[in-house]
Amino acid sequence: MFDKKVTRGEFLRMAGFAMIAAFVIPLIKRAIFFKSSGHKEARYYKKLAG
Amino acid sequence: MKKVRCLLCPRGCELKEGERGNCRVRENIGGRLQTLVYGKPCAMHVDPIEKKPFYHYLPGSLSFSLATTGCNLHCLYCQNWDISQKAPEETAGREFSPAEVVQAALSNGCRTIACTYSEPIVFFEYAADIARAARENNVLNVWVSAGYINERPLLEALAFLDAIKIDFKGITEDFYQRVCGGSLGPVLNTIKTIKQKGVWLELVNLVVPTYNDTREDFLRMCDWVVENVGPDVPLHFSKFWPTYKLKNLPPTPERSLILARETAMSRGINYVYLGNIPEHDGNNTYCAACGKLIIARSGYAVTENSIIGGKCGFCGNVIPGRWE
Repeated sequence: MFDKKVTRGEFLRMAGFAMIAAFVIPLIKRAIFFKSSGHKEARYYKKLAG
Repeated sequence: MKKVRCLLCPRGCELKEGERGNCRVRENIGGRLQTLVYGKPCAMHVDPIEKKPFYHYLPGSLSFSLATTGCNLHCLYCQNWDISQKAPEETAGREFSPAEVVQAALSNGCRTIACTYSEPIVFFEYAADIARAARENNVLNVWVSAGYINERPLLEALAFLDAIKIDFKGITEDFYQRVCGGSLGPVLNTIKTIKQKGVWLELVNLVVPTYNDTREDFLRMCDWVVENVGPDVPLHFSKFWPTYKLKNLPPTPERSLILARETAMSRGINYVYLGNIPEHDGNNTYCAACGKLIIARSGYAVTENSIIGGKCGFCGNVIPGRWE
């Protein structure tokens, strides 16, 4: 099994899945989180000039 | 671009629009710092108060315990890393208002609400509103915290807290930097301030093999405790279990914990306990005056209690803590 040559198509498919797992899914999670809930202003901070 | 600087903890994170603080749960949104976890606990449970551990505070009572994600330290041995080192969108949770927290505490017969598991400092606003709602309903408030907080928010917290357990992780700057990603000084200030303000305080030191388990470490820590907060602050030494980024280490040997306890008692600390070692004498409370066993514990359960009106039932010595 480990001697099997990976074709270009298989490599691109694996890379695509990796990109989805690494970048797209976290973005979707974040978008769902922000859409579903409001947030409260924090205390103990200051706005910086500039 | 509207930047903000968080003033909650010594990190003082400077955040550009869309950036989150080191704790993962505070974000600059539109030039305002927002807490992302208000009303969004990821862990809630009813625990015996001894689990926090509080050994001198309402023994045998239940504590409604909760946490959100996030933490402003990154300890290599964190046993709750799966919530403390995560952003809120990475965990499951539900919306739970401060009023609902208090109702849950009351319906479960809890005398206290404990903000614990991760780090209550990072969900400060939520913890503060829970505390105010709790006080209106005669429920007490306790925190389990690493104490890495600036003075102003600390003073506000001490106004609504009834008890606090601080993780006194180590006595060297090197330990705090290397193992926790923080610094020692602010934690020492926090401990002293808590004592000055009269909020009930207990300390826990997790003894980690090869990192903070020498006799020198124990001597320095105990001498600092006696000198700065006095011999009546309960000090717990807990056994480390391999977890998170320190799975390569063995669990703390019992002899290290016994050494810690003996060292602490020899330096004059009156109430020294051993944690994560069931059925050990170090789980029990002895009167500092007459030496009699006054509270026996088996695990988190209190099996005997000879304290009467806050005093030793044998000799009448006042035992520090809150007993009723």
